[in-house]
Amino acid sequence: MLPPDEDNTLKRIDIQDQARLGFLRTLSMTINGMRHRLGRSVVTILVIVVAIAFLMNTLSESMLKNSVAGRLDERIKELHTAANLATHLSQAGTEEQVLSRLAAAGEEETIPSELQSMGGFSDATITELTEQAAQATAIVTWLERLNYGQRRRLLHDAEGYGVFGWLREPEHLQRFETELATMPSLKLPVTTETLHRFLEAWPTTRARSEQIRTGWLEAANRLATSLDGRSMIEALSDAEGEFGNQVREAGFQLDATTADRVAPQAREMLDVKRIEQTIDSDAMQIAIAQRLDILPGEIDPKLLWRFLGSGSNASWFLQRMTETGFRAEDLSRERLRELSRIYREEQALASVAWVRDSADRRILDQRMIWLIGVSLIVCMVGITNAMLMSVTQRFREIATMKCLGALDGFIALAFILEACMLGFFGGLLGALVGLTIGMSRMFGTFGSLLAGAIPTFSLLLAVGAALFLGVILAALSTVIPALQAARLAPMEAMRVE
Amino acid sequence: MPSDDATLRVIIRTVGLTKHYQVKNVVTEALRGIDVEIYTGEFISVMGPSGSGKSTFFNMIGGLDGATGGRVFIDEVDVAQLTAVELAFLRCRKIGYIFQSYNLITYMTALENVTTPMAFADVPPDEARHRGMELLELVGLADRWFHRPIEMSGGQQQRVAIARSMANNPSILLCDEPTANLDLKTGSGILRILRQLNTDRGVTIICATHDHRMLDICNRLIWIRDGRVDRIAKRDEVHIEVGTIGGEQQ
Repeated sequence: MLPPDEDNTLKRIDIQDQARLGFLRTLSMTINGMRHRLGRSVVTILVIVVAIAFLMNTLSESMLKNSVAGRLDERIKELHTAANLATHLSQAGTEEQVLSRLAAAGEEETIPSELQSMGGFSDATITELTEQAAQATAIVTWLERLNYGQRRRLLHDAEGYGVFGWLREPEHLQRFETELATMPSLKLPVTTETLHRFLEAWPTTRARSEQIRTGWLEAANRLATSLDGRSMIEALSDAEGEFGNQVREAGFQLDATTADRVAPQAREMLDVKRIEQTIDSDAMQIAIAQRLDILPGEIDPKLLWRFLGSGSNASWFLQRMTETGFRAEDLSRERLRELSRIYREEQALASVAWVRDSADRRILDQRMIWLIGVSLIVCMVGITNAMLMSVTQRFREIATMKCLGALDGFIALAFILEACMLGFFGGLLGALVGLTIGMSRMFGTFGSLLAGAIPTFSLLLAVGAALFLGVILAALSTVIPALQAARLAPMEAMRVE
Repeated sequence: MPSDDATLRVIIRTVGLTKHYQVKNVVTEALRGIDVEIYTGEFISVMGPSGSGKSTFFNMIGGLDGATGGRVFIDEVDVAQLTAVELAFLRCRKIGYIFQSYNLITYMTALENVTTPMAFADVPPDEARHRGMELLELVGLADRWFHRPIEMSGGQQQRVAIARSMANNPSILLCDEPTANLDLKTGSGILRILRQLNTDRGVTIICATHDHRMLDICNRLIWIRDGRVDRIAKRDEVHIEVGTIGGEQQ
């Protein structure tokens, strides 16, 4: 009655360990499933995109700001070369300025030859002096970072470079060292021996820097006689010519490159001043006000320069100047527009100068780290929730797979792989979205200033980091759902709804 | 009993099988001691009202759930002694499962569904496809191998499920109400295929069912009531009583 076991299909199977499915086959099965659940995947990816875009946007904006801030410093220094040089040539620097210039030269291991000649020192003396100045600056900078209580205990009320005179009193130095020994978190930037030797030499150092100051002052005074009643800026407009030689003769250094840069700048400054003075005259003010159809009182330099940006306005203005009795024959329409452009660039730089203060040269500040951290946690919770729902919805599928011989590891791996892929695409998309928003926002703020200041390599690195973070976050968020899925009992497949 | 026949082996044996479920302080005794022996090549119908412990019994002999007391031997191997990895091996190659609601993987084609257990058994993809097509041919669906479950009727889905359960040439097929979701005609088709597998391939088939047509094709019937074996009968003995039993069943 029962069928005989003819073709031997009932042969006994020895129970062995179930084979593990290869990674690639797991991957292809996971991708197959994901294609089917595209809608859900897209929603999960969006969560990741938003979080990573936020991170990437903040990161890229901060990096661009820092980069612009660096360029800004250079550009402002460049634009102000003439003004800075004028100050340098008219008055001797303070003791602090002399010492910090020496210290800067010491760090770059160059000999500050201008200061050397002003003090009339030999190479050996100036080298020793720059070394001393570097130590002095290092110690003073270190002391300035202490809080009020620490300073009070260590130094009483001595300040700035005055602390060295104060510390030369033996009882003060002893108190300083005893107190310092009780603050183990503080460490002097120089050794005790160096400090002692430095303090020993301090009066000499001071006297030498004073000698430089005197030399500087004499040079400035010598130069003042060659001004012939011109202002320093007026004189500097001839920096490539006679006045340049006079500067060098007086004891300053002025190389040809700087002179070539300074002279036109000085001429610009003079022209700017001349043109701005025209609006002090009522006739000019009223004429401009009529042309612009505004009140004369509203006219200020800013408005004037914007007005001169257009060629027809510039021609009209030149004609007015001549008519009103101003000297204008050496000015041209193009010159006015050029000055207007420079003025507006300076204004633009000034308007974004805040970036130097706001970017304290760190990529992310505490508050942003906190915000980004929260957004990433919210993202993780979102992914975990989506994956837990996915486990609940797919319980029958998972249990069936287990009935068909899937190992717990396969089920868990499939979930983690799915999350990694979501994380990859979400991270990639988020990084690009964040970068695009950051770039366009920063371009809106800084305009052309940004063009040469894009830190491409760092930004690419940040994109890579964001991508990596997306994958890791998604994988971590899915650990719990994956374990839950792996632990699902295969008999759930039998359940009938 | 078939045990007289020397050529037959016991493939499933349960000894004093009990199962308790505990939810908080309430203990439910689903099985209260079941002793059965099932022989290779048999076609068994398990019948019983809902709540009788039929499903629990099924889970136990399918290696899907552990017993509270007593033992389950599949091919003389004590299921309780197997590790998780060995249990997966058992489910993959030794037992085929057929579910009331088919449980096909929705995003896979018919062929992919059939070859999935082969993938788990580490069969090379080319061979798996070849064997998968053969199995689909066996259930008469070779021309629809690329269809997804949603594109197929219930009967076609169940036929794919049967092909899938046979993927690794198991010696036991566990069918949980295979025809309950199907109309009479389609159900008959499914039963015909099961019968064919039983006679042509000698697969031991254990069917939980309410379907009386099953009585015509099975060798033995096991009634379970209140977690105990109510009665075991050969088909010959039952045949005359069908009407009466039909009256008893809901």
